[in-house]
Amino acid sequence: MNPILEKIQKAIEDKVPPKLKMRYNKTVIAGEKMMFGKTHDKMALVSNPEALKDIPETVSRGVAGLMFVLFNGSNKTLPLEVLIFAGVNLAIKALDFAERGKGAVVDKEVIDETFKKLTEQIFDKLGITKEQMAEAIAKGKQEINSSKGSK
Amino acid sequence: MDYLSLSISRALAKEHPVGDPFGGPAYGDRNMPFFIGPAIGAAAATVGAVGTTVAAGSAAAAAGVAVGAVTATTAAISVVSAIATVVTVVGTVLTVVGAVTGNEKLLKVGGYMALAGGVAGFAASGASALTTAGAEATKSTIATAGKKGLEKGLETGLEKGLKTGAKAAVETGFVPPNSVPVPAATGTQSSSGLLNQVPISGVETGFTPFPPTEAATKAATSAIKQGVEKPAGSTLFDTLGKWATKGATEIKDNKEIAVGLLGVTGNVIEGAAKGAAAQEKLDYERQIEQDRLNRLNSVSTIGGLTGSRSLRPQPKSRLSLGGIR
Repeated sequence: MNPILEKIQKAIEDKVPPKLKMRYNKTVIAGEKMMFGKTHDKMALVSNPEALKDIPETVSRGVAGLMFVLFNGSNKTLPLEVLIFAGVNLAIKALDFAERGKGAVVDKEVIDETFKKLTEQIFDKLGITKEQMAEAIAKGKQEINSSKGSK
Repeated sequence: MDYLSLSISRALAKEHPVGDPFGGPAYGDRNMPFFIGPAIGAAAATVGAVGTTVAAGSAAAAAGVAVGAVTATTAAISVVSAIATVVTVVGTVLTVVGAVTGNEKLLKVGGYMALAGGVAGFAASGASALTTAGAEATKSTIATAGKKGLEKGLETGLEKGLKTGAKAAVETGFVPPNSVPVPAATGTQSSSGLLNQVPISGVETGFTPFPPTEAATKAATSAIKQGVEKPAGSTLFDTLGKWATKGATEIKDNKEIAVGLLGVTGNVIEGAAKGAAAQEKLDYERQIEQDRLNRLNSVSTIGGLTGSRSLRPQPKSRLSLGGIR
């Protein structure tokens, strides 16, 4: 596996709370089965050669959709933390597949772009607009700056 | 296509709660749709209604809405908590990716998002607690004030009406002036006495035997209205609402408070954990000491020290029985 992807995967897995670890592992397994199981040929990276031209878009859209299939499949009981962490892991696996299986270039820029787009997709599905996110980021920035200023 | 039997499907569903190993949905779930569940959709709609600031990390709006619609606010706050969790986790993910790929922008954005989500979640939980308290206080206040208003209205109205009725009866000459008792403060007690003395035939002469009804109704309505519109505890409710808003705003606006509160919470938890561990250790040591003392006390001093068994009371043997045998 790409060393960058490997590092991200390890760092993300370290962030998963221990009490959610089992559900996280099961969710990742279920997602992998859906990606690489019987329905593998339906995966955009496999079925559509055009999809390889824009890896971040293809992977982020596919994984975001998969995340909510998983969410629905759990009768909407899957904790959102687990869902997102598992989604990131699945995105890493999809990028790895694109690189090793399809010969696509997966460098830092592609990885950054993929996760940015994945974030947008998740928020889009949750109904959070870009403007709201921009506002949230601005507020967070303000908090940090005011904290730095007060010290 | 091959299908699994129900029992196999159930068994697999236990092992794979999220989808079965053949890529299908979990047991009992439909294979469609491929879009976000209604719960999340509804949540997003509520967030939109509450206002953009809520999603952005300000629970002040949610706390403000509490004054108007407690139920809606409680739902909104739980949604804010969910959204805050998502924002925090996504922020963490972006931070990790940024740190690994060396993308400082992504790192910073992730950090801001994680913080905004954390503050929102923290404020939302505080607002939720305050809203619940406010709702309970309001319910109780309105109920008490309404009840009091009703009682007061009935009492005043009945008393007033009885006086009017008695006066009218005297004026129309149907009741001799001295025979009309003065209604007591509690109208219900005096009403039976008075009505017994007012002749029913008064109706025929234009005297309505029940003039209290209108006055009582008016007074009761007025009192109830007063009680409901201006409950005695409205100040308390306002204060709670303001307090919630103020608290949430302060937490939002002042990171130090949030950090400080989180720090205090952390210290308390850490202290409690340490204390529990120390207590366990102490209990264990006391137990050992107690056991040692018990062992020492169970033997006589000399016997215990020398190891001799001669001074200890010997158990009765079965000598006699053996002797007989």
